[in-house]
Amino acid sequence: MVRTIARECFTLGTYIRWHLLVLATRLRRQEAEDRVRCRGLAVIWETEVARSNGFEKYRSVTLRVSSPVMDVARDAASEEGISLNSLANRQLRQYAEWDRLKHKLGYVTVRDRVFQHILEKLPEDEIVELGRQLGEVEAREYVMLNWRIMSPDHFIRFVDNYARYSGQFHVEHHDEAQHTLVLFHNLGSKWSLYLEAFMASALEASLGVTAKTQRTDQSVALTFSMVVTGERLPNGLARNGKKNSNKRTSEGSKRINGKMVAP
Amino acid sequence: MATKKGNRTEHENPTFRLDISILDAIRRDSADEGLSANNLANRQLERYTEWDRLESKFGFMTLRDRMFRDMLARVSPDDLAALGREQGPIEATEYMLLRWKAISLPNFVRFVKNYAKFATQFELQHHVGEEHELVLVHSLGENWSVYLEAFMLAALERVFGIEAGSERTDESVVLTFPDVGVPASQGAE
Repeated sequence: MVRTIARECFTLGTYIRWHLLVLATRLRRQEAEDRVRCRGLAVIWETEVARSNGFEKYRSVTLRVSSPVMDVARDAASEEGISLNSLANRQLRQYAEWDRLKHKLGYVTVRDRVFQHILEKLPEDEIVELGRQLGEVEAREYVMLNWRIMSPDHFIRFVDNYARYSGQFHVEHHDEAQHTLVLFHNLGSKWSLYLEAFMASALEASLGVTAKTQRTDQSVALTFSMVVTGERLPNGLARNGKKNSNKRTSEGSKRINGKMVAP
Repeated sequence: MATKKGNRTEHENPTFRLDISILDAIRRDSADEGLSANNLANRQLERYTEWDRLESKFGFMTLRDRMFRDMLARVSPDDLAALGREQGPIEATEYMLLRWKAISLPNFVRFVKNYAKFATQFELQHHVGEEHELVLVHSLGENWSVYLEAFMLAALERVFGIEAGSERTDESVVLTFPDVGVPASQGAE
């Protein structure tokens, strides 16, 4: 009798212990799940807040790229002294800012020495006339297609993009009491003539601004007054008319090839 | 990670950390073009390997086609033909050597294809039968046809010793030449 009672007590004790163990495990799992869910929610919330404040700037994306392309890109990036990631960002930025418009507006790429040879065959007055005619329309077409609205900021960005992607010239933008755009090239004095006529005509036709110009055989400097707010609008946002939160004050700052440099 | 299945091209799946503003623009524009964002990114990377990285080394410049057409119209056809004859062999040789490290007829055809695809100087149709037939179509006026014809004929003659046949209109040039036994294509695709 005593032995039977003792056995039942033992069985009951084991059962209770097992049951408690199961309950504890369930509680722990529930707690862990809640923690994960909370953490997930926190991450999503933080990401949303960061995006709305304009803090989140990058996102990781996995692409499927053909190996031969990757091999050449890897070698070339290392030759240029940049990471493959920087190269991917640069190429995709180039698409957003330049390549997609190239097809729509109609551009042609030629060797610069071929172009220089053709320029040399043209009389100076015809080059100036051509620069004037095209300056009136080219800036307006590029800006309207890309950002929809012509403004001083967009004009400066048009010049920046031409300098960065077309290979026609390099630019330095001095933003002090007046704006000074200095365009450098090595295509000879006739190209300076063209650029001077083109830019002066573009400024006048697009913004009603008359620029003072100086010219050498390898450079053109344009000095003019206008208010540039310096809003940096990513192409996509600008096309939809929404503003980016990144702003700069133009006073005393300087932009070189699209990059802001502190005074 | 690299993958390969049968004869299909080998691929890798690299992860990039991309600027969100660029990513948004790429997603929107790829949808406009009817491509996936992945296709578009691939196209841009291919563009870099085939063209952009060489562009700065060679010295190319990009112009509005209407400006270039206006300029070409003011130059005499004889001057342009002379320029084309001078530049054809030089440009073809330089590009083939810099890109593929080898001069060959297949590489010459690839050079012409890259000029069509990336420099947008013309549209290209390549027919291969008993002979190669390259049809170059453009909208830059008659003088550009004169330049292109002289450029291509001189490149084929002085680099490969091939005397190609040609026909020309104000918007096209057709080149016909046999597939002679020049060294086979080398270098990475």
